[in-house]
Amino acid sequence: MKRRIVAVTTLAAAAAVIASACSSSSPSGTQPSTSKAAGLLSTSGAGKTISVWLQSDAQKGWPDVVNQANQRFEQATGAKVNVQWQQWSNYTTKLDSTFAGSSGIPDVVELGNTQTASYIAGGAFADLTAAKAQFENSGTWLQGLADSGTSPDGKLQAVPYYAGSRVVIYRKDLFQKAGVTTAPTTLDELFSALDKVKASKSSDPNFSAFYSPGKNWYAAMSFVYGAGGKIAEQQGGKWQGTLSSSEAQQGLTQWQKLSTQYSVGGATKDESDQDAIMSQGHVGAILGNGWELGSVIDKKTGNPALASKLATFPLPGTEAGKYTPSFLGGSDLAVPQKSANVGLGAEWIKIFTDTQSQTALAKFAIPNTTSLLSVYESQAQANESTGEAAKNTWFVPNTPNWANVESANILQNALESIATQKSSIADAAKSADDQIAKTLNAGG
Amino acid sequence: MTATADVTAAQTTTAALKAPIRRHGARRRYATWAWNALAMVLAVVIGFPIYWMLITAFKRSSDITTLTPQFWPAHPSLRGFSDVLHDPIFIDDMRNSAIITLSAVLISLVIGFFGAMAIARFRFLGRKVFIFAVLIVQMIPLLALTIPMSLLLDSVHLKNALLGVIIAYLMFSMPYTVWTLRTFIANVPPELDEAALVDGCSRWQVFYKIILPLVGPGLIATGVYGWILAWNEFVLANTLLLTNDKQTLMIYLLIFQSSPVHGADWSGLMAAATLTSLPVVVLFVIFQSRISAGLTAGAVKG
Amino acid sequence: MSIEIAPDEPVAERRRLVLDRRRGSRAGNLPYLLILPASLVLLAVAGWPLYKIITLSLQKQESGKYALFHNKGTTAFVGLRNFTNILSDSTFWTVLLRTVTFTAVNVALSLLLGMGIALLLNRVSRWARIILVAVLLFAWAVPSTVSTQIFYWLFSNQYGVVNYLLSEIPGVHMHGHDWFADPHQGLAVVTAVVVWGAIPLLAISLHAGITQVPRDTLEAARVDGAGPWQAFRSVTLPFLRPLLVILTTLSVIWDFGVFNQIWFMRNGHPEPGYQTLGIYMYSEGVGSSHYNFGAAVGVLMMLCLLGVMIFYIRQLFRIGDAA
Repeated sequence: MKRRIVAVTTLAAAAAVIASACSSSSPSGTQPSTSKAAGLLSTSGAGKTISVWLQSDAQKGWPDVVNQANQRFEQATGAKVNVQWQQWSNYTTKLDSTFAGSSGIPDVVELGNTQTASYIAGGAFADLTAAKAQFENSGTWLQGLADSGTSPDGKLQAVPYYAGSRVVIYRKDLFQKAGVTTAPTTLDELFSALDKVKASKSSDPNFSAFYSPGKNWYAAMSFVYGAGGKIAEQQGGKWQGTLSSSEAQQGLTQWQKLSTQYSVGGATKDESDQDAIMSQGHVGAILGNGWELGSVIDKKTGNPALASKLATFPLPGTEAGKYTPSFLGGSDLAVPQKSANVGLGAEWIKIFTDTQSQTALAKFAIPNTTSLLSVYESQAQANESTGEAAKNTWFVPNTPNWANVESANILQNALESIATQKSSIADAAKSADDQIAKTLNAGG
Repeated sequence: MTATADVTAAQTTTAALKAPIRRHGARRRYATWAWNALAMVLAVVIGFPIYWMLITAFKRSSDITTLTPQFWPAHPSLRGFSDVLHDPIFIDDMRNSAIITLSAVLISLVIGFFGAMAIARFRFLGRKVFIFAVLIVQMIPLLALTIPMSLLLDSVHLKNALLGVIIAYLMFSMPYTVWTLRTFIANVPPELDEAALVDGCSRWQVFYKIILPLVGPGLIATGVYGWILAWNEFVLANTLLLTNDKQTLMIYLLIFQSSPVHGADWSGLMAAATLTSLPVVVLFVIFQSRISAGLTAGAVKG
Repeated sequence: MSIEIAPDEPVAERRRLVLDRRRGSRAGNLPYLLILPASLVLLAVAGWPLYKIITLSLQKQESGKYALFHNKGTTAFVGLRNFTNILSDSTFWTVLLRTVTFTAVNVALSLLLGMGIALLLNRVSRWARIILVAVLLFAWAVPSTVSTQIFYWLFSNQYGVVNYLLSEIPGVHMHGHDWFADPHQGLAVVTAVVVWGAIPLLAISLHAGITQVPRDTLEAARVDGAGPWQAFRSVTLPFLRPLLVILTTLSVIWDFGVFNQIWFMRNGHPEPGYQTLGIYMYSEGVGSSHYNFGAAVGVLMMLCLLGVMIFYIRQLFRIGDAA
């Protein structure tokens, strides 16, 4: 029994090697008979079904956008679409084990934009460069998102899907009661406004003028980039953590002030439940994704009574008119290299990311192209701020090993020790720098 | 005199024992009430997290984490439950979980019972190797198995198949069954086998007519264990099952957690978790009462 | 009645030999037939993955995923390099020590409480037993991911029931106390979830075992003048010993590899002070797609367990031989 299984696996392994040897030379070469001469994209899909892995964010947030794309795809190609909703939890392990095997390979997958680089380096995706010109708006894709889907040698391997940016979500009513009637335009103004809000609620020991959880590295790194610092940089082919630089430490000091003087009870927590906490009413402001405003007032996840009391503004910078850059989070779409329908998968991505789809998506999230930002901003007041914030963003070092910095919680651990004041900023930054350098430079 | 004291001798003393017991009846009753009270205190302490899960399922989201905890939902709502029960995916996933778990447990019990019989009743070459293998397998960290297990099932085309997950779950449920059933079988005096064999029973008849009924509680205990492990397993199921129509309840529960574009729906999650736990509880409360009737009948006396 | 441990082995041994002699050749191939299905399952579902884990642990950990996606994860053999890398890292030893302590505390607490409740179940009225067993079964049935979330709420600094109730005690001001700032306190909360989740199985199994203790032997002991504690020590405990050895062994295995309860208590971001071997293996290995590294940690975990449990394994073989 055992021997038979070993024999089977050896055979399968050999087959996989041969298959990958063939397909790596030309991704579309695996399907020469079905691909049209037009190139990578394929529209001849009669009798076929493609499998698309999307995060359930779309299922809950914008199912109609997915449906209209599927309908147009089915009309254009004759193929059927089988959407499989995924969850972020344990997602990389699922992708890893799927791509390592040979069965059940989807034809389109969604990835978080900080994870994409490691899969591109692993050769997980088909090269879509040949079709780039046919993807609408590919000239105006959001820079950070487009970069995350491009390999170091300039090949397009993943297509921008949607983005998110962070803004200050605040309680207009509480700010007004404290005498703050206009949105702060500089960090100093923000801090003095928070002083007033804090003073006006001094009777509530649980009140956070600005709830800033200790593990929220998206927020902390925004201050680092806003002060002119960065997480890491490459010098002579080697990565170096640069959180110890004076600029970065200045940013961390600002963030520490926010997290220790204006925030109560979040020192050891991350940002995932900050909207639920805000909905309890003892929070003046948070730094959150635009959609989090919806979560604070949603009846399933928050408190609808706050609906009229919330507003947003972009996180101010050191001087007026210069915002603190926001982290550009988002998702990419890619066609697995082992997919049996590379051409059809690429065609589905083309339809799902074209102007029509993205215009519909712009009601719910930041679309993948700057040309549609105005559509997005016109949807709601909150969108004006997030759209504004999306124009000035930062992104993680775009290198395959970055995902491991995240999975090892290097930044979160350093930040928590800063927020709990267990170690000095300089010490925490130094220790994080060492770990970042070690992780990013890991060879092999 | 040894602990398994001569059984017949003990039986003859039973009659003599009855009188003093009756005399101490009143004291015993007070003691029982004291023990009952302690049991209720423990039930409250152990049950409190479950109570919290239940009332959270009925709470409005804004009432879930409040500065002054709500020990009773201020605005009870069935929204969480109705969302879950009206979700066709929940029913599908319940079915998948049931198929996987039931199969894994039944196969484990059958195979495990035979294995346990072998090591409890026979001495044979390779017995120690077998026991050792059963032990070692339980030490394999499940998390380290995701990739190897996935590659294995991929190579035999059982990826994204309920059968593949059933087979994978045998890995932890079967060794446990062998181990635990062995002790339960060992506690059945071999004289019983002997007597049955003398009476003309075949070996197989001894197994299922004599031993099987006597290890009922053991079967239930190990069955419950295997059931709960399989029912609540997440990492392997999530890695080995790729499509929505195959996923299990544990994967379904993730839908309620927060993600990059929405907050967590806690009352929905707790409603789903309650509904997920309920079948297990009901099933075993039924089994427990049925089996314990037989097990206290003093069958062990021989 | 001076009964020491290991009372029934000679008797059982004698009986078994008698039986074997009488059975003669009839037993023959039967035991092999009986273990055949189990052996096949072990070989197929555990043997191959075990072989694969060991292989992975001896192969090079590449930083990228190319070999994984294109070569079934096969990389060059590097001997014990992964192991020397791990063992020369002081983090591993800190984590190992923490894991051993955590395991010892959790196993001891689980077994003591489990045994206590099992005995209690034997004493109480039928209705009380049904209620307590139902609560235990419910506690057991709740997935650890969910129970951890509930305990996390109960111990929340501002919104938690525990701090609220503690602060109701005059003179105690626990409101706002962060249980997770100090990993020792945080791991104590984790211990509460782990023990809470472990008690049902232990209590119910032990209770099932206790009901098999021959009544007559217990009563004979009582007639001989043994108090409840003596009767427990000299009759019940020896009778339960095989079951206890197994439950202890299994508890050690589970608590040594505990993952969910810590992972979800820290919302997927466990601080260094919360790292036990299971977390270490995930965050440095599997979760970072470092499967060779993860496999090496997995192999080390198995070796540690074997080392810790040599005693128990010997016990087990003794019991196994005796039965």
